[in-house]
Amino acid sequence: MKKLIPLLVLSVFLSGCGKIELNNTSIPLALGLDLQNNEIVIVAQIASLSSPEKAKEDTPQFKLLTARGRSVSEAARNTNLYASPIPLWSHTQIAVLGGNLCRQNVTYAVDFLARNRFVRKNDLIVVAHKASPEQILSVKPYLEPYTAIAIRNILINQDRQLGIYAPINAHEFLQKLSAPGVEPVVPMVSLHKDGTGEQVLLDGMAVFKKDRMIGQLNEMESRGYFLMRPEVYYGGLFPIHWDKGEEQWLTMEITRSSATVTPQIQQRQIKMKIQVIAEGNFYEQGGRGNLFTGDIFRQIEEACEQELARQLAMSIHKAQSLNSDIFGWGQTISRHEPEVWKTAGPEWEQLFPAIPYELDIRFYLRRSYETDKSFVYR
Amino acid sequence: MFRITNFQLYCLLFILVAPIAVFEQPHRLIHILFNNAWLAFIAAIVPAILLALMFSHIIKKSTQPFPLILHEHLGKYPGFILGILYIGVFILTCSFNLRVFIEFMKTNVLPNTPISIFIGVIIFLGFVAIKSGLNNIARIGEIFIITAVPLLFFIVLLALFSSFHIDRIYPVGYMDYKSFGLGVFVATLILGKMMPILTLAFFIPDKNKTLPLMTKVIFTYLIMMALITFSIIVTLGTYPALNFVFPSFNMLRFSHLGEFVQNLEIVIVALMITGFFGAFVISWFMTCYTTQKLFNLKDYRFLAAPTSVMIGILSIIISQNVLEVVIWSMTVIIYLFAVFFIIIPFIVFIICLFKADPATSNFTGEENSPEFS
Repeated sequence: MKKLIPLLVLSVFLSGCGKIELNNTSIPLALGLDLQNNEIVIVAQIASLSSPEKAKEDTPQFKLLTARGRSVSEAARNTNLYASPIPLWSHTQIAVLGGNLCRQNVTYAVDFLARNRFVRKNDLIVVAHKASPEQILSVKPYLEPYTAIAIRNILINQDRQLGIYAPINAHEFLQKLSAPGVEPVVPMVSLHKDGTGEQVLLDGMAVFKKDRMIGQLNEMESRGYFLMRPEVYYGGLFPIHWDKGEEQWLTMEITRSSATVTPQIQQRQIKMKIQVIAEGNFYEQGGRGNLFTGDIFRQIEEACEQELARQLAMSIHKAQSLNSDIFGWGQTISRHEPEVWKTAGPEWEQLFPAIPYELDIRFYLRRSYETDKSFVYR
Repeated sequence: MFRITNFQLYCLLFILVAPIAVFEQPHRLIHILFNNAWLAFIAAIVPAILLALMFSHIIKKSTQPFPLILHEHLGKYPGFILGILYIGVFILTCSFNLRVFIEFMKTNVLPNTPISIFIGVIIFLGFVAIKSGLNNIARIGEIFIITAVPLLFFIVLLALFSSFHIDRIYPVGYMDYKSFGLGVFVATLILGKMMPILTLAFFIPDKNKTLPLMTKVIFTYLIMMALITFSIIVTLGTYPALNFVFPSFNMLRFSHLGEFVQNLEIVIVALMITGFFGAFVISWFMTCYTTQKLFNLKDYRFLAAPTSVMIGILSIIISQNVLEVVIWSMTVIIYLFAVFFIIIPFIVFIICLFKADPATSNFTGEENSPEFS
């Protein structure tokens, strides 16, 4: 018993130093960063902690904290000049980077994301487009209490359902900014008006080069970028125009796709070979006429291959015109042909816009769900 | 009567080598070999086994534990002078271990806790451990091995598959021989910290059976380090990893179970506190034990009090900031370990090669060591 007494006394000190009482904290779900008049503006979407019974359905269940400073950290701490709860930044789900910040210099945000131990590196990153982060985060979203959660869910769901905008988290963003031969691309969020007011909308992707945003990809180019991701992915949808017989739109679902990019070196010339192998299902027919024959299936596969090739080519053309290696071709060369990269690496900025490429797209149509015929009207 | 089992010795050696290395070694190796850093740990098997053979041979040819081994093989005065230097090295190792632990805790866990609180608490616990004897330190080692090591492997695997980008390890093997040689040397160097086996081997039932124990430590350590470094490269990527002070910890922060179990890194922190503590206390034990034997003192345990002050102060003055800790880690510690844990034992080994086997050990493990009686 005597031995236990010192232990019991010591246990008083186990709570540690610098602790924060939960009652004195707030939960920020989104972090917005922008640059205005050479000052960093930080916006935090703070969850209002109210019981479901008390929460009114139409009123936002969050508050926005906004502050300015000469650095991100100073701005973040300046929120405590008028709001007493201490934000627990490790709870953030997304980071919304403002257009001004991205176009001028993203270094402030990058250093904050990399160095700050409270920032979780799996936070998704988006860029505010034609609106400030504050405007984006002040939107009351459809059927979701918080804009941060809504944007995160939209990004994840469209990734599986549509396959247009490739989500990127803070870690991938930092990784691509710090590694040679690859640049990051970040989905953009804008506002669009509908009957109920303004809503958030995924709207293109921001293309970065070194420390700033230098351009953007539209929907088609984003689809091409999505297709060229090296990892195997499942899901996605794309329509193709069918003009053989009755003119109509056919919708194809991608069930599995993977891209392999390999550099081919011939007489000291670099050429990129891009092979995309995709499987998919016939998802919807927008007109009449029997398309379910072996020959037509093969023709549909060819049409799909052409459509995917078009999307890829648009994406590559845009990246080369912006001179930003968003596909990581430089990194691929450094991994496959390190000797070539030794000489090509320092000149990559001059080489990349003119690198020729060859597309090899294969699309295999597998299933057509519950019907194996076109609908027949009698 | 001997009180350390073979398993306890294995635990003590592993705890000496691994816990600090988990946080330091990947950082060093990635700076030297970039995406091929993990290969250095695989290649280090050969020199590590040679190192174990060297220690094993010295033990076989010696009748008394370190530091008396120095007297036995190098002569009275050179042995005494070297013994004094070793006391300094053990104190420095202990202080550096403590400082790395403090930097880790201040950076990642409790940034607002004053440094004096950390030092005070760890030194107090270490003091109690030294006073209570080697058996209790060995028990800490057992607990660490049984609980922490499997859990660490599990969490590393969770982190690895949370962000699996295997393409980041390419080009495999594309490195210059000089860097690879340096990488293997650095990977092996930390295994030099097994040197206290020259003392501890004399407290197990058969001192001539240390080679299998050391081999097990080497394999556990190298597999663990290769996996951790591989995971850092695959999950974080080489270039971000170069910027982090503790890339292992950043990698471990990726671990999660589904969407509902996150923040698993706090489990690692709890495990590493045990590991850091073990590594720190064993170095401290070696300080006290070496002093006792060199000066022919009755006991080593009363030395815990004066040395605690030296260790505490040295851990503070060793560096002003984290940048200096990194410089120590990347340069001074490497040379220090190379000289005292590898080169000097190697000289002893060479001398031992030309000596006949001793008939019997005249060390019983009982003399001057009340906890062994």
